[in-house]
Amino acid sequence: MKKFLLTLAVGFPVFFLILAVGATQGSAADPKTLKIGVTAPLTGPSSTAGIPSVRITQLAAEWINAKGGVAIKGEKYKVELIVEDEKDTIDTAITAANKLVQLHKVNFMVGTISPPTAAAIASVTEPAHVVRSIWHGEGSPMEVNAKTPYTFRVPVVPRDFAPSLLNYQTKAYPNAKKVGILFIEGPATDFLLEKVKKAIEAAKLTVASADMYDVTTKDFYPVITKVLNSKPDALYCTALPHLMGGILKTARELGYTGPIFNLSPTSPGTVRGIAGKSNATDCILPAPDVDSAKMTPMIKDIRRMCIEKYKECNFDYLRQWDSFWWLIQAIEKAQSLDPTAVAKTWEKMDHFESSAGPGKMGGQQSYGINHIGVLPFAVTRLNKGEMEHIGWFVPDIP
Amino acid sequence: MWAQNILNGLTSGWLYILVAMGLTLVLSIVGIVQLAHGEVYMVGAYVVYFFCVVAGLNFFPALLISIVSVALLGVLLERFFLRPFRRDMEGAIITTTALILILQTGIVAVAGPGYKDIPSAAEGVLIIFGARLSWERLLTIIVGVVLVIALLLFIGKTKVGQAMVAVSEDRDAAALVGINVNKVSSVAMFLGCGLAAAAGGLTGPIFNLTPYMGGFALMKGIEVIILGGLGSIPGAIIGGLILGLLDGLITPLASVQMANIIGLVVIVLILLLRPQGLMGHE
Amino acid sequence: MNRKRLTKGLGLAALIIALCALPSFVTGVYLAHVLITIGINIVLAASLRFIATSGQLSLAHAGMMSVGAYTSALLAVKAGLSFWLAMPLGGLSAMVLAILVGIPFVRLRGIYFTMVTLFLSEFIRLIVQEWKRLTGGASGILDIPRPGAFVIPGLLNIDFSIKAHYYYLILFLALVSLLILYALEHSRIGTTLFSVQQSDSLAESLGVDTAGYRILAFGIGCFFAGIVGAFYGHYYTGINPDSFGYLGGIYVLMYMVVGGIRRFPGPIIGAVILTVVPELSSGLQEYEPFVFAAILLIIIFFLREGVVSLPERIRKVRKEASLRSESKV
Repeated sequence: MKKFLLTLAVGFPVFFLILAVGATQGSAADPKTLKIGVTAPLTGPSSTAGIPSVRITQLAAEWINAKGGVAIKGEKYKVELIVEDEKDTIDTAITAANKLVQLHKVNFMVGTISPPTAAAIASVTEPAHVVRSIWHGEGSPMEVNAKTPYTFRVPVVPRDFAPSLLNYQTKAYPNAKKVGILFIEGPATDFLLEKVKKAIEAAKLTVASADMYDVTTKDFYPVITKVLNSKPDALYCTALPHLMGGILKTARELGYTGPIFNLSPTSPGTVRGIAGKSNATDCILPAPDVDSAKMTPMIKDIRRMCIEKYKECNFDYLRQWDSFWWLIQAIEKAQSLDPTAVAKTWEKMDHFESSAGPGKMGGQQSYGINHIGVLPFAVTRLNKGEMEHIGWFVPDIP
Repeated sequence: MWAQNILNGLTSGWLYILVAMGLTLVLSIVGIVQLAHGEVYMVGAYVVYFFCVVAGLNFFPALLISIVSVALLGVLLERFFLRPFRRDMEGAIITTTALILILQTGIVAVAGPGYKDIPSAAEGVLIIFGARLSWERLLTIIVGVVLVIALLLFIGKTKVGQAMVAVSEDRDAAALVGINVNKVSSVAMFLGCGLAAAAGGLTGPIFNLTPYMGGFALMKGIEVIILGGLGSIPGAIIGGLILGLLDGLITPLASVQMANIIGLVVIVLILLLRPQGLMGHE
Repeated sequence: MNRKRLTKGLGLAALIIALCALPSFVTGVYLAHVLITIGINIVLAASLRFIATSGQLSLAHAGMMSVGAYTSALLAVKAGLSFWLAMPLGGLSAMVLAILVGIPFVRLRGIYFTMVTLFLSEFIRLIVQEWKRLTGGASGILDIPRPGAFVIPGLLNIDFSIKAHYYYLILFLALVSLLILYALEHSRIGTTLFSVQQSDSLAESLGVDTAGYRILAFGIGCFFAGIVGAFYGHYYTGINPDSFGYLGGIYVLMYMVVGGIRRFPGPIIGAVILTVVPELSSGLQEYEPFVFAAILLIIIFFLREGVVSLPERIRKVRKEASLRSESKV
């Protein structure tokens, strides 16, 4: 009798609790609200990039709302962000995506930094016809391709930084002929390696060596010792900010004086901090120094708003502004809240406003679908511990 | 070239040793599966960060404050969170996992999730036998060696130290001969957490800080202990050096991946052939 | 059959029927997802408890799930095998690995065995990550096919095109697994395992091959972890080495202990509670781990025997209170 009561006492209330949760969580949409879902790693190691990205998206949403919201067919819609934590693994990310799509019934989403996570979430959002503006990638076919007609990517990624950086190298470091490569071991690394090698050869340079390192690496002495054995004149890496700091610091401590390029967009301040000012020299990053006077007026504005609200601003905050803003621009151009209509409009648009200047869509040839953002990116060089804004480059994404 | 590789290996090795040393003290003397040891290491690094970067102190005073304060924190943790589970391994695992979550989330709440850096205590590089070593790494090795020697002296020459050895071998027998096991546990926790904080504070400037840096320290600590033997300090030294040298020698000759694999194979072989570790007692 | 067992049996039957009928009343794919996750965690926790009945604490369940998941996914994707064949093979490969690991290591006791299992989980993750040619390395395996349709013409068409079908599958797997584990525990094997846990030297003196029984328990427990891992892969359609980090194994332990390790329903209750709580507190976002940690500490300090011991505790407290009031009269 006790067992029976116990089973009932525990089993049914729990299930009714779950029912109650389900019933109360999904809210009916306010007719004048545009719900946009955000999936980001808020806990776990990737939250270093996830949290600033969510914050800048919130800032951008408030900015849009302050200007009156999104105007569609004469009606004004206030943007409402619904944020779900992807946590650490693919399955928690899929859960987050499921919640947004099935429970909150969003038709538009931004988010996701890690490429495998983006690919996994696609399995939820593509069949549900949810327009998604993803935050990062490496440039491989798994991220955005002809089979993901509802996925778009605005920020420029490693694959598309390479040709511009190589070009700059031939002008600023004309004697550097042999290039060493050091990439993070990851899902798209082989693909990226192939593309970058081609770009290096196209710039009339040679590949001295190619090595891969683990994203959990702390001590870079062994792997950099290996890379330097091939005596490269210049070094190209993909690295998260702290990894780039470690690589730069180690390379300089081991006596390497050649230029070091990061193909991943990383905040110059973070890299310099971790490498130490004395080591922060001849390091070129495809990211802006947000405090520089040479920033566009809009970036200066965003920086001001960000510091007001969050007491700090760096590139990690800035990067995802345009991911969100272009989604809004596409919705406004389509004058519709139907995701299919928005997707079809977006891929045909040839003019967008961005924080860095005007941009458009590209990628039909190189990605198989015209869903890749082509917009200016800043390049910063760390020189003797100081930050030098090299200029604004526009990638070539056919 | 060989000199550089060996030097790299020895340096890495010492960093692992510092972490493993603290862990082995806690595991064998306090007798608890302290899964949150990595987080203690992490907190140690962050305390140095606060006193050095935020409060503006010099590195060494900040390090000292960190070691002492984290060691004391450890004593409190042991008294209230760990001691009740001395004979209860499952309970210990649960409590320490809760501690992991609390410490990680706490640091995120206070310092934010981003990467932090601590400026080097010593700038510049020195050259030994044609190999390059930064002064701060050399400093870390020296401080590490000093701490280890101090620990060995403490264990060998003091009553409390000898009591610690007794407790690590057989807790009940030690109690029977009149050793105050609780006091000894507190001392061991103090030393173990102090060492972890030292390791965290010393590696802070060399690498960087994140609230999630603890997991790596724990895993490396466990690997060193498996290799060297639970409860053995010389074992921790040998285990750490072996792991460090594997990294330092194999990576440049083959690749990072190969070094990882060989490292795993070595540990598995030791487990199969001599499960109590190279210097452990069964 | 006495009244007690009859009511117990009816209660269970009612619960099972309610669970089967649930999808008809509860719609919402998010809810289905939570229920499926609960199902997975129940099997993991119950199978871990089975290993614990022999006195061993394993933290290898995450790694064992990984073995099951990758075996099944690779067989399905590369060899075109049907899920219904691949899944059991996934379970079997986990079991074989467990037995192979068990043979040299079951003689290690307590903390050392547990540390080795923790390391084993990490070892599996690293091997999977490094063996790129076989497992795809860090990118993992994507596009894992759905289980083949299960059709009874005219009556049932379960083709796994909707979440509810996965719910039925995990419900079925969970019920069967629980049944097998329950039966094993209440059989001669179960009693022997318990004796090994209580005093293995005594058992040895009676001729029991304690090492053999430990290996058996470990193997069986890991078999179910492998089965659930296979289900996991085909449900999420994508896996990578980080899906099975060693922390997962620690979480399974938590389900078991928070629910209560001494009684069979314990892990089930623990799995339900600890799966639902993070979902409910997801509003707290980055501070959610505090809630989880708080629950762990409350249970471990105040209800050490687990939630399943709550009725007993209440009874005890009441009894003591009534005794005290009696003695005052």
